[in-house]
Amino acid sequence: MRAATGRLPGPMDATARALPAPRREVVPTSVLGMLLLVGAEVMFFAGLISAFTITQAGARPGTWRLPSEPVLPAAATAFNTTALLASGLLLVRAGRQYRREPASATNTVLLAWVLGAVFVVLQGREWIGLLGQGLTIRSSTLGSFFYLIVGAHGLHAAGALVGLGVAWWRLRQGTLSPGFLLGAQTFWYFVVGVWPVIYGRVYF
Amino acid sequence: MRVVVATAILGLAPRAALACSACALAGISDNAAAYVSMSLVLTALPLGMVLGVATWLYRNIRRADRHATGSISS
Amino acid sequence: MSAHDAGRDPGFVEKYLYSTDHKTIGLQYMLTGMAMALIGAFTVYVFRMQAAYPGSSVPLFGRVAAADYNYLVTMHGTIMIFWVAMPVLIGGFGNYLIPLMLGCDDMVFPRVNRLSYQIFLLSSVVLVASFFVPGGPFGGAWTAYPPLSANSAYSLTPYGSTLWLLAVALEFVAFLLGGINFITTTMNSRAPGMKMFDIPIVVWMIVLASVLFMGSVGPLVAGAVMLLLDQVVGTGFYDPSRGGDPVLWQHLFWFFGHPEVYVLLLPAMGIVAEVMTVFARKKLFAYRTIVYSAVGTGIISFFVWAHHQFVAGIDPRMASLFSVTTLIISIPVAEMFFVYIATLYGGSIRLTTPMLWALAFVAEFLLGGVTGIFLGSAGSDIYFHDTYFIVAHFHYTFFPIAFIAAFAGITFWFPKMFGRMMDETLGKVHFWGTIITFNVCFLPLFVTGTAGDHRRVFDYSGFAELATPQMQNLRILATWALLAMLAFQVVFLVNFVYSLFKGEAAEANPWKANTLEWLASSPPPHGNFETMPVVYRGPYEYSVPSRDDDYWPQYEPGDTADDGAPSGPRSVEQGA
Ligand code: HEM
Ligand SMILES: [Cu+2]
Repeated sequence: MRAATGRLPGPMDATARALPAPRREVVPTSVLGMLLLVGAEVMFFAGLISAFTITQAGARPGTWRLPSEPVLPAAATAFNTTALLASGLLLVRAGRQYRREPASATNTVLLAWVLGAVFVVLQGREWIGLLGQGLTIRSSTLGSFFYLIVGAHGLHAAGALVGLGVAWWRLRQGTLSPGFLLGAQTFWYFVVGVWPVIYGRVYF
Repeated sequence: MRVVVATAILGLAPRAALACSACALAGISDNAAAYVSMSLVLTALPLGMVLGVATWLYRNIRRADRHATGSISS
Repeated sequence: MSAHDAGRDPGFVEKYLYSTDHKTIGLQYMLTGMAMALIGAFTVYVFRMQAAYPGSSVPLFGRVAAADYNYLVTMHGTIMIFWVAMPVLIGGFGNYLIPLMLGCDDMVFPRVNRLSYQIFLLSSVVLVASFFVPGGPFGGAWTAYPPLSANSAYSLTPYGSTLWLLAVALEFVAFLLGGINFITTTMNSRAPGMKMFDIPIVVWMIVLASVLFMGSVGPLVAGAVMLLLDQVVGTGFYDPSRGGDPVLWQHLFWFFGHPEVYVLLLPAMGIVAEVMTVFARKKLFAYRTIVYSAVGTGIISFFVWAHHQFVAGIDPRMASLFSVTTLIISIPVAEMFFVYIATLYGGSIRLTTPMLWALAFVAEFLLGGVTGIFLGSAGSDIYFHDTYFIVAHFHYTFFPIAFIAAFAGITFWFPKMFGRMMDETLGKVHFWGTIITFNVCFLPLFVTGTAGDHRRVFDYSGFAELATPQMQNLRILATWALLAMLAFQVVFLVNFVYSLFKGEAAEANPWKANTLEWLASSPPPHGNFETMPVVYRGPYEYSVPSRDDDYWPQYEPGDTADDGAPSGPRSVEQGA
C-alpha cells in the first residue's frame, strides 16, 4: 500500500480539459451504433425464419404449398439476388475508394444504389405477378410467411436505399461525413447479407 | 458402475426414460426437431454476435487503455 | 455538441419538452413511468377488491364484470413491467446517470435519445387510449397467448388487443434506440483515465441489460408482427386449424420474456451496489466478480426460457434440460448477492433511507429467487404453475426490482436531480410502511398458491371445486395490506413534491460519494460539468486506511489506488 500523499487539490485540476468533452472513440461511434441496431434486426429475421421453419415442419403432409398452381419463382429471383449481391460488393469497393480519395467513390456508390434499386423494383414486380395469380397473404400459411418475410426484407432494403441515396448525394456535394457513410454501409451489408438466407429458406 | 450402465442404456434408448407414453410413441417428430434446432439457432445467434462485437471492442479498448498509464485500481 | 450552447438560455419547450439533454430525457422517462404506476396501482386496487369481496361494488369503479377483471389484470402486468419498471430503471436512471457517471456532457446520439423518449411517450398514449375504445382494453393476460389474443371472436376486444400489441411494439423500439445510446456512449465517451473496470457498477449493469434486451427482443417483435397480421389481416400464423402453431408464440414470447426479467434485475442490482458502498463506507467486495457474474447471468438467461412452458406440452426431455439450466442460473445471481453481503460485512453502516431500501432489496429478492428454484424444477412447477404461488414468486422478484430498488435510487439521487434533500423522517415512514405491507400482502399468496389457488380467476361461482373458501380470509388480508401499501405511497408523493420545493438545499456531494456525478453541481447544468473531469481511480475507494477522508473521489488527482502501482496520476494527455 502506498503512503498517503495527504489532501490533494480540488477537482478543478489544471490538466483537466476545457469543454467540450473529450470523446475517446475506441471504435467509430456510427459503426457501433449501427451494428447494435443490425444485431437486433438479425434477431428479428432469425425469429421470422425460425417461425417459418417450425411451422413448415409441423405442417400436415400436403398442406405446405401455395393454394393455386404457382410455385415461388425461385429461378427469376436468382437474378434479383445476383443484383443485390453485386451491389454489396460494389459498396465494399466504394468504401475502399472513399478511404483513398473521397470523391472517387461517387460513381461506385451510385452504381451500388442502382443495383439495389433494381432488386427492390424486381421484387415488387414479382409480388404483383403473384398477386395477379391469386396468391394473397391469407390464402395459405406458406403464402403468409412469404409475404411477411420477403416484405419485411423489402422494407428494410427500401429504407437502406434512402440512407445510401443520402450518402451519395452528400458525397457529390462534398458534405459526407465518414461516419454517415460507414453507418449506411453497415446497414446495407446487413440487407445484402440476410437475403441469401431468406432466399434459400423461403423459396425452395 | 451401475450408474454408468444405466446412463449408457438410457442414452442409447432414451425412450425408456420417458414417463409419458404419448411422447415416447410420438418419437422425435419433424416438428420437435425443428423446435430444438431453431431453439439452438436463436440462442447461439445473439450470443455469437455479442461475442463478436465484444471481442472487437475488447481489442480496441485495450489499445485505448494502454495509452493511459497507471494501473487498474479495482 | 450540446456543450457549446451551454450559455444560451433555452425556452421552456426546448428545455423541458423537446430537449436532447440526457438529464431531461431521464427525468421525462422517470416521471412518465411514475404516472403510469398510478394507473397500474389503480388497476390492482380494483381487481384485488374483487378477489377479496367478489361481486360487491368497488369504490371509484363500480361492479367488476368478468371482462373487466381480465383487462385489469392484463393491464396491471403490462403497465408495471413495460411502462413502470423499464422506463424508471432503464430509461430514467440509464439516461440520467450514464453520461454523468462517465464524465461526459451527453449521450453520443442525443437526437436519437429524444426520439426514443418520444416513441415511448407515444406508446404510453396508445396504451392508455386502449382503455377507451369499443370493446375495452385487451384482457388476454400480459403474455398474450394466442389463439385468445389472435382472434377478436375469442378475445372480444377487436381494438383493444391491436392497440395493446402496437403499444408494446412501440415501447420496444423506444428501448432499442435507448440501448444503442447507452452502449455506444459507455464505450466511446468515458472520461479520460476511466478504464473498463473504473466504470461504476450501475452503468455496467444498465449496459449489460441493454445488450440482453437487444439480443432477445427481435424474435418477439417478429412474433408480434405475426400476431398483428393474424388480428388485422386475418392470416393464420397461430391458428392451428389453418396450419398455424399457437405454441410458437409462447417460445417467441418467453425467449424474450426470461432475459427481460434480467434486463430489469441487473439495473436494480447496480443501483443497490452504488447505494450500499456509499452507506457502508466500504469498497465493493469484488468488483470484477460482480461484472463477470452479471455477464454469466446474461448468457445463461438465453438458455432458460422454456421453464415457463413446462405445462405447454413440450418434450419432457426438453423440460428436464431447462430445469437444469434454470437451477444453474441461480448460481451467478446468488454469487452477486454474496458479494453484496460481504461488502456490508464490517462496514460502518449508515441507515439512511436509500440504504434501508438497498438492504430491503437484498432481503426481499432472496425470497423471490429461492421460490424461483421450486418453479424451475419441472416436477414441482407442474403443480405450482398458474397458482398464486407464481404470483407471489414474481412479486417477490419484481417488486424489489421495480419499486424497492427504484426507491433506493430515487432517494439516493434526488439531491443530484433536483438540488434538494428529501425528508428523512417521511422517507423512513414510507419505507417501513411499504415493506411491512408488502410482506403482509404477498406472503399469504404463497400459502393460497400452495393450496392450489388459481391465478386470474374472476370469481369462484363457476369453479366451485377451486373455491377453497377457507382461504378467503387470507385473500382479504392480502387485499387490505395492498390498500395500506397504496396509502403509504401518498407519503412518498408528499415527500417528493414537498422536497422538490421546500427541501433543504443539497450541496454537490451530500453523501460524500466517489463517482463522477457528485462532482457536478446539484442539479447539474446543461453540459454537466464546469470542467470536464479526469479519472484517477476506481469508483469504490472508501475508507482507504492511508487517507484522512473515508472516501476518495474518482476525479480527485493523486496517487492511484492502493495496489502498489506506479505512483502519480494516470496520464491524462494521451487519454483522448
Ligand atoms: C433465480 C432466479 C429465478 C428463477 C429460478 C425463476 C424461475 C421461474 C419459473 C420456473 C417460472 C415459471 C413458473 C410458472 O409459470 O409455472 C417463473 C415465473 C415468473 N418469474 Fe421467475 N425466476 C427467477 C427470477 C425471476 C426474476 C428476477 C423475475 C423478475 C424480474 C422473475 C419474474 C417472473 C415472472 C413475471 C413470472 C411469471 C410469468 C407469468 O407466467 O406471468 N423471476 N420464474
Ligand atoms: Cu423465467
